[in-house]
Amino acid sequence: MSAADRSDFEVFVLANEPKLRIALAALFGQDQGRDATSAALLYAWEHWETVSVMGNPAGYLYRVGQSSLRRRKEPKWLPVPAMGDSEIEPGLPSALASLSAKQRVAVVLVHAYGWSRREAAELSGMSLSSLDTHLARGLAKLRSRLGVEANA
Amino acid sequence: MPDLDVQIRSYFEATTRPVGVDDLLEYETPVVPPTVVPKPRIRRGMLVAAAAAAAIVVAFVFSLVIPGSEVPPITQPTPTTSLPLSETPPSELFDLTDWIAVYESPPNGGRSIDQGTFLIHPDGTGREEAGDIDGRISNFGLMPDWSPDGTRLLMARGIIGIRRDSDRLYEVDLLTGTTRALFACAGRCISDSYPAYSPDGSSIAFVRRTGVFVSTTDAGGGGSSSLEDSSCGIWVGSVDSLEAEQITSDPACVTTSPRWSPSGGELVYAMGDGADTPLHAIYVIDLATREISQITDLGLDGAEPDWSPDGGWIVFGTHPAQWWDAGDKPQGNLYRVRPDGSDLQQLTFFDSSKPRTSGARYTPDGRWIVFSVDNEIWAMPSEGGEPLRLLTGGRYSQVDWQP
Repeated sequence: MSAADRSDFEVFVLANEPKLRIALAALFGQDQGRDATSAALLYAWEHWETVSVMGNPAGYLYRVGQSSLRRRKEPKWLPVPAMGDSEIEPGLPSALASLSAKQRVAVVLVHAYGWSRREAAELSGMSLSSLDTHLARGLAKLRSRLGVEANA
Repeated sequence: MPDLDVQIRSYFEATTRPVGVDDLLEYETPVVPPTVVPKPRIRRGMLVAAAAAAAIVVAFVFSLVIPGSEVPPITQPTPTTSLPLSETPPSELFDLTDWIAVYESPPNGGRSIDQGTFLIHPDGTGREEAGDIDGRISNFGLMPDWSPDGTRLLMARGIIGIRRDSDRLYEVDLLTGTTRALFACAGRCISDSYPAYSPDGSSIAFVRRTGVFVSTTDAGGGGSSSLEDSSCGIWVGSVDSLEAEQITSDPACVTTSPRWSPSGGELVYAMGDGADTPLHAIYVIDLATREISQITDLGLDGAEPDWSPDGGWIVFGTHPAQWWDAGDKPQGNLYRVRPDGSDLQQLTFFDSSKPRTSGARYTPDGRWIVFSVDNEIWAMPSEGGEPLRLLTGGRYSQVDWQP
Protein backbone atom coordinates (compact mmCIF):
# COMPACT_ATOMS: atom_id res chain seq x y z
CA MET A 1 0.00 0.00 0.00
CA SER A 2 1.44 3.36 -1.03
CA ALA A 3 1.58 6.38 1.22
CA ALA A 4 -1.31 7.90 -0.70
CA ASP A 5 -3.33 4.75 -0.28
CA ARG A 6 -2.52 4.67 3.41
CA SER A 7 -3.76 8.24 3.71
CA ASP A 8 -6.96 7.38 1.85
CA PHE A 9 -7.44 4.33 4.03
CA GLU A 10 -7.05 6.36 7.20
CA VAL A 11 -9.70 8.77 5.99
CA PHE A 12 -11.91 5.81 5.17
CA VAL A 13 -11.46 4.36 8.65
CA LEU A 14 -12.26 7.66 10.30
CA ALA A 15 -15.49 7.89 8.31
CA ASN A 16 -16.63 4.29 8.48
CA GLU A 17 -15.21 2.74 11.62
CA PRO A 18 -17.85 4.26 13.93
CA LYS A 19 -20.65 2.95 11.72
CA LEU A 20 -19.21 -0.55 11.57
CA ARG A 21 -18.31 -0.63 15.24
CA ILE A 22 -21.75 0.40 16.44
CA ALA A 23 -23.62 -1.80 13.97
CA LEU A 24 -21.52 -4.87 14.71
CA ALA A 25 -21.62 -4.20 18.44
CA ALA A 26 -25.41 -4.02 18.19
CA LEU A 27 -25.32 -7.33 16.39
CA PHE A 28 -22.79 -9.30 18.43
CA GLY A 29 -22.24 -7.38 21.67
CA GLN A 30 -19.34 -5.04 22.36
CA ASP A 31 -16.44 -7.51 22.50
CA GLN A 32 -17.35 -9.69 19.53
CA GLY A 33 -18.45 -6.55 17.71
CA ARG A 34 -15.00 -5.03 18.11
CA ASP A 35 -13.35 -8.22 16.86
CA ALA A 36 -15.65 -8.24 13.86
CA THR A 37 -14.93 -4.57 13.18
CA SER A 38 -11.20 -5.18 13.34
CA ALA A 39 -11.49 -8.14 10.99
CA ALA A 40 -13.58 -6.15 8.53
CA LEU A 41 -11.21 -3.18 8.50
CA LEU A 42 -8.22 -5.46 8.22
CA TYR A 43 -9.83 -7.06 5.23
CA ALA A 44 -10.34 -3.59 3.75
CA TRP A 45 -6.68 -2.82 4.38
CA GLU A 46 -5.57 -5.99 2.63
CA HIS A 47 -7.97 -5.54 -0.27
CA TRP A 48 -7.92 -1.78 -0.50
CA GLU A 49 -7.80 -1.68 -4.29
CA THR A 50 -11.10 -3.51 -4.41
CA VAL A 51 -12.80 -1.97 -1.39
CA SER A 52 -11.84 1.61 -2.24
CA VAL A 53 -13.90 1.60 -5.42
CA MET A 54 -17.00 -0.07 -4.02
CA GLY A 55 -20.30 1.76 -4.05
CA ASN A 56 -21.26 0.64 -0.56
CA PRO A 57 -18.03 -0.35 1.16
CA ALA A 58 -19.48 -0.09 4.67
CA GLY A 59 -22.28 -2.47 3.80
CA TYR A 60 -19.80 -4.87 2.25
CA LEU A 61 -17.49 -4.73 5.25
CA TYR A 62 -20.44 -5.19 7.60
CA ARG A 63 -20.95 -8.58 5.99
CA VAL A 64 -17.25 -9.29 6.11
CA GLY A 65 -17.45 -8.59 9.83
CA GLN A 66 -20.46 -10.86 10.15
CA SER A 67 -18.77 -13.75 8.38
CA SER A 68 -15.48 -13.22 10.20
CA LEU A 69 -16.85 -14.66 13.42
CA ARG A 70 -16.72 -18.27 12.46
CA ARG A 71 -17.65 -19.40 15.91
CA ARG A 72 -20.14 -16.93 17.21
CA LYS A 73 -21.01 -16.89 20.85
CA GLU A 74 -24.11 -15.46 22.41
CA PRO A 75 -23.75 -11.68 22.47
CA LYS A 76 -22.50 -10.39 25.81
CA TRP A 77 -23.65 -6.99 26.92
CA LEU A 78 -21.36 -5.00 29.14
CA PRO A 79 -22.97 -3.51 32.25
CA VAL A 80 -23.83 0.15 32.33
CA PRO A 81 -20.66 1.92 33.48
CA ALA A 82 -20.66 4.48 36.25
CA MET A 83 -20.45 7.79 34.41
CA GLY A 84 -20.87 10.63 36.85
CA ASP A 85 -24.06 12.49 36.15
CA SER A 86 -25.00 10.46 33.11
CA GLU A 87 -28.14 8.44 33.54
CA ILE A 88 -28.65 5.13 31.79
CA GLU A 89 -31.29 2.67 32.84
CA PRO A 90 -29.39 -0.24 34.48
CA GLY A 91 -31.73 -2.71 32.78
CA LEU A 92 -30.83 -1.43 29.30
CA PRO A 93 -28.27 -4.17 28.50
CA SER A 94 -30.65 -6.99 29.38
CA ALA A 95 -33.47 -5.24 27.52
CA LEU A 96 -31.26 -5.00 24.43
CA ALA A 97 -30.38 -8.65 24.83
CA SER A 98 -34.06 -9.55 24.65
CA LEU A 99 -34.34 -8.16 21.11
CA SER A 100 -33.56 -10.15 18.00
CA ALA A 101 -30.31 -9.20 16.27
CA LYS A 102 -32.12 -7.38 13.47
CA GLN A 103 -34.37 -5.55 15.89
CA ARG A 104 -31.32 -4.45 17.86
CA VAL A 105 -29.46 -3.21 14.80
CA ALA A 106 -32.51 -1.29 13.58
CA VAL A 107 -33.16 0.31 16.97
CA VAL A 108 -29.54 1.27 17.60
CA LEU A 109 -28.79 2.65 14.14
CA VAL A 110 -32.05 4.43 13.37
CA HIS A 111 -33.53 5.32 16.74
CA ALA A 112 -30.42 5.90 18.83
CA TYR A 113 -27.91 7.12 16.26
CA GLY A 114 -30.35 8.85 13.97
CA TRP A 115 -29.30 7.15 10.76
CA SER A 116 -31.75 7.45 7.91
CA ARG A 117 -33.73 4.29 7.25
CA ARG A 118 -32.06 4.00 3.86
CA GLU A 119 -28.56 4.28 5.38
CA ALA A 120 -29.37 1.60 7.93
CA ALA A 121 -30.94 -0.64 5.30
CA GLU A 122 -27.94 -0.32 2.99
CA LEU A 123 -25.50 -1.16 5.74
CA SER A 124 -27.44 -4.01 7.28
CA GLY A 125 -28.69 -5.53 4.04
CA MET A 126 -32.30 -5.38 5.19
CA SER A 127 -35.06 -4.15 2.91
CA LEU A 128 -36.71 -0.91 3.99
CA SER A 129 -39.91 -2.71 4.88
CA SER A 130 -38.05 -5.33 6.86
CA LEU A 131 -36.10 -2.62 8.65
CA ASP A 132 -39.34 -0.82 9.53
CA THR A 133 -40.79 -4.02 10.90
CA HIS A 134 -37.78 -4.78 13.05
CA LEU A 135 -37.53 -1.18 14.22
CA ALA A 136 -41.16 -1.00 15.29
CA ARG A 137 -41.18 -4.35 17.00
CA GLY A 138 -37.79 -3.77 18.61
CA LEU A 139 -38.75 -0.37 19.98
CA ALA A 140 -42.05 -1.68 21.30
CA LYS A 141 -40.32 -4.55 23.03
CA LEU A 142 -37.57 -2.37 24.44
CA ARG A 143 -40.04 0.15 25.81
CA SER A 144 -42.11 -2.60 27.28
CA ARG A 145 -39.09 -4.14 28.99
CA LEU A 146 -37.95 -0.81 30.35
CA GLY A 147 -41.42 0.44 31.17
CA VAL A 148 -41.04 3.69 29.25
CA GLU A 149 -43.61 5.62 27.25
CA ALA A 150 -43.69 5.50 23.46
CA ASN A 151 -42.47 9.10 23.13
CA ALA A 152 -39.33 8.41 25.12
CA MET B 1 -33.79 9.91 33.02
CA PRO B 2 -32.84 10.93 29.44
CA ASP B 3 -34.84 9.75 26.45
CA LEU B 4 -34.34 6.17 25.35
CA ASP B 5 -32.37 7.10 22.21
CA VAL B 6 -29.92 9.14 24.25
CA GLN B 7 -29.51 6.35 26.77
CA ILE B 8 -28.75 3.78 24.07
CA ARG B 9 -26.27 6.08 22.38
CA SER B 10 -24.55 6.89 25.67
CA TYR B 11 -24.40 3.21 26.53
CA PHE B 12 -22.74 2.26 23.26
CA GLU B 13 -20.36 5.20 23.32
CA ALA B 14 -19.30 4.27 26.83
CA THR B 15 -18.86 0.57 26.23
CA THR B 16 -17.28 0.35 22.76
CA ARG B 17 -13.70 1.23 21.91
CA PRO B 18 -12.81 2.66 18.51
CA VAL B 19 -10.62 0.60 16.18
CA GLY B 20 -7.86 2.73 14.68
CA VAL B 21 -5.47 2.04 11.83
CA ASP B 22 -2.66 1.44 14.30
CA ASP B 23 -4.80 -1.14 16.06
CA LEU B 24 -5.13 -3.01 12.78
CA LEU B 25 -1.40 -3.14 12.23
CA GLU B 26 -1.02 -4.63 15.68
CA TYR B 27 -3.91 -6.99 15.29
CA GLU B 28 -2.33 -10.24 16.42
CA THR B 29 -4.84 -12.79 15.23
CA PRO B 30 -6.33 -11.39 12.08
CA VAL B 31 -9.42 -13.10 10.88
CA VAL B 32 -9.49 -13.15 7.11
CA PRO B 33 -12.86 -14.40 6.00
CA PRO B 34 -12.52 -17.24 3.55
CA THR B 35 -15.59 -16.03 1.72
CA VAL B 36 -16.45 -12.40 1.98
CA VAL B 37 -19.08 -11.96 -0.67
CA PRO B 38 -22.30 -10.84 1.01
CA LYS B 39 -24.87 -13.64 1.02
CA PRO B 40 -22.50 -15.80 -1.04
CA ARG B 41 -24.61 -17.02 -3.91
CA ILE B 42 -21.91 -19.23 -5.29
CA ARG B 43 -21.60 -21.17 -2.10
CA ARG B 44 -25.34 -21.47 -1.69
CA GLY B 45 -25.75 -22.47 -5.28
CA MET B 46 -23.22 -25.19 -4.77
CA LEU B 47 -25.05 -26.38 -1.73
CA VAL B 48 -28.32 -26.49 -3.57
CA ALA B 49 -26.78 -28.47 -6.36
CA ALA B 50 -25.11 -30.68 -3.81
CA ALA B 51 -28.38 -31.30 -2.12
CA ALA B 52 -29.92 -32.31 -5.41
CA ALA B 53 -27.18 -34.85 -5.70
CA ALA B 54 -27.88 -36.16 -2.26
CA ALA B 55 -31.36 -37.09 -3.46
CA ILE B 56 -29.86 -40.15 -5.01
CA VAL B 57 -28.36 -41.18 -1.68
CA VAL B 58 -31.60 -40.43 0.09
CA ALA B 59 -33.48 -42.60 -2.36
CA PHE B 60 -31.39 -45.58 -1.32
CA VAL B 61 -31.38 -44.75 2.37
CA PHE B 62 -35.11 -44.39 2.59
CA SER B 63 -35.83 -47.51 0.55
CA LEU B 64 -37.91 -45.88 -2.11
CA VAL B 65 -41.53 -46.94 -2.08
CA ILE B 66 -43.80 -45.60 -4.78
CA PRO B 67 -47.22 -47.07 -5.46
CA GLY B 68 -46.58 -47.70 -9.11
CA SER B 69 -50.21 -47.70 -10.13
CA GLU B 70 -50.83 -44.13 -9.12
CA VAL B 71 -47.67 -42.23 -10.00
CA PRO B 72 -47.00 -41.02 -13.53
CA PRO B 73 -43.45 -41.24 -14.94
CA ILE B 74 -41.01 -39.26 -12.84
CA THR B 75 -37.78 -37.55 -13.74
CA GLN B 76 -35.08 -36.76 -11.23
CA PRO B 77 -32.83 -33.72 -10.77
CA THR B 78 -29.32 -34.24 -12.10
CA PRO B 79 -26.77 -34.62 -9.30
CA THR B 80 -23.55 -32.63 -9.55
CA THR B 81 -21.76 -33.12 -6.23
CA SER B 82 -22.08 -34.94 -2.95
CA LEU B 83 -21.50 -32.31 -0.29
CA PRO B 84 -23.31 -33.46 2.87
CA LEU B 85 -25.91 -30.78 3.40
CA SER B 86 -26.98 -32.08 6.78
CA GLU B 87 -23.53 -31.40 8.18
CA THR B 88 -23.62 -27.76 7.15
CA PRO B 89 -24.57 -25.41 10.01
CA PRO B 90 -27.87 -23.59 9.44
CA SER B 91 -25.98 -20.30 9.77
CA GLU B 92 -24.21 -21.14 6.52
CA LEU B 93 -27.47 -21.80 4.71
CA PHE B 94 -29.98 -19.30 6.04
CA ASP B 95 -30.12 -15.78 7.36
CA LEU B 96 -30.74 -16.59 11.00
CA THR B 97 -32.39 -13.23 11.54
CA ASP B 98 -35.21 -14.09 9.13
CA TRP B 99 -38.54 -15.01 10.64
CA ILE B 100 -40.59 -18.09 9.92
CA ALA B 101 -44.30 -17.84 10.61
CA VAL B 102 -45.51 -21.18 11.84
CA TYR B 103 -48.63 -22.56 13.46
CA GLU B 104 -47.93 -24.24 16.78
CA SER B 105 -50.35 -26.68 18.37
CA PRO B 106 -50.49 -27.02 22.13
CA PRO B 107 -48.44 -29.82 23.63
CA ASN B 108 -50.28 -32.93 24.70
CA GLY B 109 -52.37 -31.95 27.66
CA GLY B 110 -51.59 -28.28 27.07
CA ARG B 111 -54.03 -25.43 27.14
CA SER B 112 -55.67 -24.35 23.92
CA ILE B 113 -54.46 -20.81 24.62
CA ASP B 114 -50.99 -22.09 23.78
CA GLN B 115 -51.85 -22.63 20.13
CA GLY B 116 -51.55 -20.12 17.37
CA THR B 117 -49.11 -18.63 14.90
CA PHE B 118 -45.66 -17.70 16.13
CA LEU B 119 -42.59 -16.12 14.56
CA ILE B 120 -39.40 -18.12 14.96
CA HIS B 121 -35.91 -17.76 13.49
CA PRO B 122 -34.63 -20.55 11.23
CA ASP B 123 -32.43 -21.88 14.05
CA GLY B 124 -35.39 -22.14 16.39
CA THR B 125 -34.58 -19.06 18.46
CA GLY B 126 -36.58 -15.89 19.09
CA ARG B 127 -40.09 -17.32 19.40
CA GLU B 128 -42.61 -14.47 19.40
CA GLU B 129 -46.37 -14.30 19.17
CA ALA B 130 -47.39 -13.29 15.69
CA GLY B 131 -50.42 -11.26 16.57
CA ASP B 132 -53.41 -10.58 18.67
CA ILE B 133 -56.85 -11.79 17.66
CA ASP B 134 -59.86 -10.86 19.74
CA GLY B 135 -57.63 -9.82 22.60
CA ARG B 136 -55.83 -13.12 22.79
CA ILE B 137 -52.27 -13.40 21.62
CA SER B 138 -52.23 -15.21 18.28
CA ASN B 139 -54.84 -17.53 19.70
CA PHE B 140 -56.09 -19.97 17.09
CA GLY B 141 -54.39 -18.10 14.26
CA LEU B 142 -54.00 -20.65 11.48
CA MET B 143 -52.56 -20.82 7.99
CA PRO B 144 -50.17 -17.83 8.17
CA ASP B 145 -49.30 -16.00 4.97
CA TRP B 146 -46.84 -13.09 4.79
CA SER B 147 -47.66 -9.99 2.79
CA PRO B 148 -45.17 -9.45 -0.04
CA ASP B 149 -43.59 -6.51 1.80
CA GLY B 150 -43.17 -8.53 4.99
CA THR B 151 -45.12 -6.12 7.18
CA ARG B 152 -48.38 -8.04 7.58
CA LEU B 153 -49.53 -11.56 8.23
CA LEU B 154 -52.78 -13.18 7.19
CA MET B 155 -54.30 -15.77 9.45
CA ALA B 156 -57.50 -17.78 9.53
CA ARG B 157 -59.41 -18.72 12.63
CA GLY B 158 -60.70 -22.13 11.73
CA ILE B 159 -60.78 -24.95 9.27
CA ILE B 160 -63.70 -25.00 6.86
CA GLY B 161 -67.01 -24.81 8.65
CA ILE B 162 -66.14 -26.10 12.09
CA ARG B 163 -67.39 -22.97 13.85
CA ARG B 164 -69.44 -20.03 12.80
CA ASP B 165 -69.03 -16.26 13.06
CA SER B 166 -65.48 -16.29 14.36
CA ASP B 167 -64.11 -18.17 11.38
CA ARG B 168 -63.00 -15.10 9.52
CA LEU B 169 -59.69 -14.02 8.12
CA TYR B 170 -57.50 -11.67 10.10
CA GLU B 171 -54.64 -9.44 9.06
CA VAL B 172 -51.94 -8.61 11.60
CA ASP B 173 -49.99 -5.41 11.01
CA LEU B 174 -46.56 -6.25 12.39
CA LEU B 175 -45.49 -2.60 12.43
CA THR B 176 -48.22 -1.58 14.82
CA GLY B 177 -49.16 -4.91 16.36
CA THR B 178 -52.79 -4.32 15.46
CA THR B 179 -55.15 -6.86 13.94
CA ARG B 180 -58.20 -6.37 11.78
CA ALA B 181 -60.87 -8.78 10.62
CA LEU B 182 -61.28 -9.07 6.86
CA PHE B 183 -64.25 -9.72 4.59
CA ALA B 184 -67.56 -9.73 6.41
CA CYS B 185 -68.73 -13.30 6.81
CA ALA B 186 -72.46 -13.00 7.47
CA GLY B 187 -75.73 -14.38 6.15
CA ARG B 188 -75.01 -17.62 4.37
CA CYS B 189 -71.27 -17.30 4.95
CA ILE B 190 -70.07 -19.95 7.38
CA SER B 191 -66.32 -19.52 7.33
CA ASP B 192 -63.31 -18.15 5.45
CA SER B 193 -60.00 -19.98 5.38
CA TYR B 194 -56.79 -20.65 3.42
CA PRO B 195 -55.88 -16.97 2.87
CA ALA B 196 -53.16 -15.95 0.40
CA TYR B 197 -51.92 -12.48 -0.55
CA SER B 198 -51.60 -11.70 -4.24
CA PRO B 199 -48.03 -10.92 -5.39
CA ASP B 200 -48.70 -7.17 -5.28
CA GLY B 201 -50.39 -7.41 -1.88
CA SER B 202 -53.59 -5.78 -3.06
CA SER B 203 -55.82 -8.86 -3.07
CA ILE B 204 -56.40 -11.96 -1.02
CA ALA B 205 -57.55 -15.32 -2.30
CA PHE B 206 -59.34 -17.57 0.14
CA VAL B 207 -61.84 -20.41 0.45
CA ARG B 208 -65.34 -19.49 1.65
CA ARG B 209 -67.93 -21.92 2.88
CA THR B 210 -71.58 -20.99 2.68
CA GLY B 211 -74.71 -22.71 3.89
CA VAL B 212 -77.57 -22.53 6.35
CA PHE B 213 -77.57 -23.85 9.88
CA VAL B 214 -80.88 -25.58 10.64
CA SER B 215 -81.82 -26.12 14.28
CA THR B 216 -84.08 -28.96 15.33
CA THR B 217 -85.78 -29.65 18.62
CA ASP B 218 -86.63 -33.16 19.73
CA ALA B 219 -89.54 -34.28 21.88
CA GLY B 220 -87.47 -34.18 25.03
CA GLY B 221 -86.63 -30.55 24.59
CA GLY B 222 -83.12 -31.22 23.38
CA GLY B 223 -81.83 -29.90 20.10
CA SER B 224 -79.17 -30.04 17.48
CA SER B 225 -77.98 -27.99 14.59
CA SER B 226 -77.00 -29.15 11.13
CA LEU B 227 -75.52 -27.38 8.14
CA GLU B 228 -77.76 -27.53 5.08
CA ASP B 229 -77.25 -26.45 1.50
CA SER B 230 -73.52 -26.08 2.03
CA SER B 231 -71.18 -25.02 -0.71
CA CYS B 232 -67.62 -23.73 -1.05
CA GLY B 233 -65.55 -21.83 -3.52
CA ILE B 234 -62.48 -19.72 -4.03
CA TRP B 235 -63.05 -16.04 -3.52
CA VAL B 236 -60.76 -13.08 -4.18
CA GLY B 237 -61.13 -9.90 -2.17
CA SER B 238 -59.57 -6.45 -2.13
CA VAL B 239 -57.32 -5.60 0.81
CA ASP B 240 -58.47 -1.97 0.67
CA SER B 241 -62.20 -2.15 0.00
CA LEU B 242 -62.73 -5.61 1.52
CA GLU B 243 -65.09 -6.33 -1.38
CA ALA B 244 -64.85 -10.00 -2.38
CA GLU B 245 -65.85 -11.87 -5.53
CA GLN B 246 -66.53 -15.58 -5.93
CA ILE B 247 -64.18 -17.22 -8.44
CA THR B 248 -65.00 -20.95 -8.32
CA SER B 249 -67.94 -23.01 -7.11
CA ASP B 250 -67.57 -26.31 -5.30
CA PRO B 251 -70.79 -27.86 -3.93
CA ALA B 252 -68.84 -30.71 -2.28
CA CYS B 253 -66.64 -28.33 -0.28
CA VAL B 254 -63.43 -30.05 -1.21
CA THR B 255 -61.44 -27.02 -2.42
CA THR B 256 -58.37 -25.98 -0.45
CA SER B 257 -55.16 -23.99 -0.53
CA PRO B 258 -55.38 -21.39 -3.33
CA ARG B 259 -51.97 -19.87 -4.06
CA TRP B 260 -51.10 -17.16 -6.55
CA SER B 261 -48.81 -17.38 -9.56
CA PRO B 262 -46.01 -14.79 -9.40
CA SER B 263 -47.71 -12.85 -12.20
CA GLY B 264 -50.96 -12.66 -10.24
CA GLY B 265 -52.87 -13.90 -13.25
CA GLU B 266 -53.55 -17.43 -12.03
CA LEU B 267 -54.30 -19.40 -8.93
CA VAL B 268 -53.25 -22.94 -8.19
CA TYR B 269 -55.36 -24.92 -5.76
CA ALA B 270 -56.29 -28.45 -4.73
CA MET B 271 -59.67 -30.09 -5.00
CA GLY B 272 -60.83 -33.50 -3.80
CA ASP B 273 -63.22 -35.89 -5.48
CA GLY B 274 -65.71 -35.87 -2.61
CA ALA B 275 -65.41 -39.60 -1.88
CA ASP B 276 -65.44 -40.93 1.67
CA THR B 277 -61.73 -41.53 1.32
CA PRO B 278 -61.07 -38.63 -0.99
CA LEU B 279 -58.40 -38.29 -3.62
CA HIS B 280 -57.19 -34.86 -4.67
CA ALA B 281 -55.79 -33.19 -7.75
CA ILE B 282 -54.05 -29.88 -8.45
CA TYR B 283 -55.79 -27.31 -10.64
CA VAL B 284 -54.79 -23.96 -12.14
CA ILE B 285 -57.36 -21.29 -12.94
CA ASP B 286 -56.70 -18.34 -15.24
CA LEU B 287 -58.31 -15.42 -13.44
CA ALA B 288 -58.95 -13.48 -16.64
CA THR B 289 -60.68 -16.23 -18.60
CA ARG B 290 -61.74 -18.43 -15.64
CA GLU B 291 -60.40 -21.37 -17.61
CA ILE B 292 -59.48 -24.25 -15.29
CA SER B 293 -56.73 -26.81 -16.02
CA GLN B 294 -56.21 -30.00 -14.04
CA ILE B 295 -52.44 -30.48 -13.88
CA THR B 296 -52.09 -33.68 -11.82
CA ASP B 297 -53.89 -36.99 -11.91
CA LEU B 298 -56.44 -37.67 -9.23
CA GLY B 299 -54.66 -40.91 -8.42
CA LEU B 300 -51.59 -39.02 -7.25
CA ASP B 301 -53.77 -37.46 -4.50
CA GLY B 302 -51.91 -34.15 -4.58
CA ALA B 303 -52.79 -31.18 -2.38
CA GLU B 304 -51.41 -28.06 -0.68
CA PRO B 305 -49.70 -26.59 -3.75
CA ASP B 306 -47.39 -23.58 -3.82
CA TRP B 307 -46.06 -21.69 -6.82
CA SER B 308 -42.29 -21.12 -7.08
CA PRO B 309 -41.25 -17.44 -7.05
CA ASP B 310 -39.84 -17.75 -10.59
CA GLY B 311 -43.14 -19.17 -11.80
CA GLY B 312 -41.55 -22.30 -13.22
CA TRP B 313 -42.76 -24.91 -10.76
CA ILE B 314 -45.60 -25.89 -8.48
CA VAL B 315 -44.69 -27.92 -5.42
CA PHE B 316 -47.30 -30.04 -3.67
CA GLY B 317 -47.68 -32.93 -1.26
CA THR B 318 -49.49 -36.19 -1.79
CA HIS B 319 -52.01 -38.00 0.37
CA PRO B 320 -52.88 -34.96 2.50
CA ALA B 321 -53.57 -35.82 6.09
CA GLN B 322 -52.63 -34.41 9.43
CA TRP B 323 -51.19 -36.41 12.24
CA TRP B 324 -54.53 -36.60 13.95
CA ASP B 325 -56.39 -38.12 11.00
CA ALA B 326 -53.74 -39.88 8.96
CA GLY B 327 -55.38 -43.26 9.58
CA ASP B 328 -54.48 -45.73 6.88
CA LYS B 329 -53.60 -43.10 4.31
CA PRO B 330 -50.54 -43.95 2.24
CA GLN B 331 -47.34 -42.13 3.05
CA GLY B 332 -47.26 -38.68 1.48
CA ASN B 333 -44.31 -37.17 -0.35
CA LEU B 334 -43.47 -33.88 -1.98
CA TYR B 335 -43.50 -33.47 -5.75
CA ARG B 336 -43.08 -30.60 -8.16
CA VAL B 337 -44.61 -30.11 -11.57
CA ARG B 338 -44.62 -27.46 -14.26
CA PRO B 339 -47.70 -25.21 -14.25
CA ASP B 340 -48.87 -26.88 -17.46
CA GLY B 341 -48.72 -30.30 -15.80
CA SER B 342 -45.51 -31.47 -17.46
CA ASP B 343 -42.22 -32.68 -16.00
CA LEU B 344 -43.54 -34.19 -12.75
CA GLN B 345 -40.69 -34.84 -10.29
CA GLN B 346 -40.73 -36.55 -6.92
CA LEU B 347 -38.74 -34.58 -4.35
CA THR B 348 -38.95 -36.67 -1.17
CA PHE B 349 -38.83 -40.40 -0.81
CA PHE B 350 -40.30 -41.24 2.56
CA ASP B 351 -41.72 -44.70 2.86
CA SER B 352 -44.56 -45.74 5.10
CA SER B 353 -42.35 -45.94 8.16
CA LYS B 354 -41.23 -42.34 7.83
CA PRO B 355 -42.92 -39.12 8.95
CA ARG B 356 -45.80 -37.48 7.14
CA THR B 357 -45.12 -34.33 5.10
CA SER B 358 -47.47 -31.43 4.51
CA GLY B 359 -47.78 -27.73 3.82
CA ALA B 360 -44.84 -27.16 1.46
CA ARG B 361 -43.98 -23.52 0.73
CA TYR B 362 -41.15 -21.98 -1.24
CA THR B 363 -38.86 -19.54 0.52
CA PRO B 364 -39.10 -16.06 -1.03
CA ASP B 365 -35.80 -16.53 -2.88
CA GLY B 366 -37.08 -19.79 -4.33
CA ARG B 367 -34.03 -21.77 -3.28
CA TRP B 368 -35.68 -23.81 -0.55
CA ILE B 369 -38.92 -25.58 0.14
CA VAL B 370 -40.01 -25.58 3.77
CA PHE B 371 -42.62 -28.04 4.95
CA SER B 372 -43.90 -29.74 8.04
CA VAL B 373 -42.98 -33.28 8.94
CA ASP B 374 -45.25 -34.44 11.71
CA ASN B 375 -44.51 -31.86 14.40
CA GLU B 376 -41.32 -30.41 12.92
CA ILE B 377 -40.45 -27.94 10.18
CA TRP B 378 -37.94 -29.16 7.63
CA ALA B 379 -36.29 -27.50 4.63
CA MET B 380 -35.08 -28.95 1.39
CA PRO B 381 -33.40 -27.44 -1.69
CA SER B 382 -36.08 -26.58 -4.20
CA GLU B 383 -34.60 -28.98 -6.74
CA GLY B 384 -34.92 -31.79 -4.23
CA GLY B 385 -32.27 -33.38 -2.09
CA GLU B 386 -31.39 -34.04 1.47
CA PRO B 387 -33.86 -32.40 3.86
CA LEU B 388 -32.77 -30.47 6.94
CA ARG B 389 -34.60 -30.31 10.26
CA LEU B 390 -35.14 -26.64 11.07
CA LEU B 391 -37.69 -26.30 13.86
CA THR B 392 -37.98 -29.12 16.33
CA GLY B 393 -39.16 -29.61 19.86
CA GLY B 394 -42.63 -28.17 19.32
CA ARG B 395 -45.79 -29.15 17.50
CA TYR B 396 -45.29 -27.16 14.32
CA SER B 397 -47.17 -27.11 11.04
CA GLN B 398 -48.36 -24.58 8.43
CA VAL B 399 -45.19 -22.65 7.71
CA ASP B 400 -44.46 -19.50 5.71
CA TRP B 401 -41.07 -17.76 5.38
CA GLN B 402 -40.68 -13.99 5.78
CA PRO B 403 -40.17 -12.10 2.48
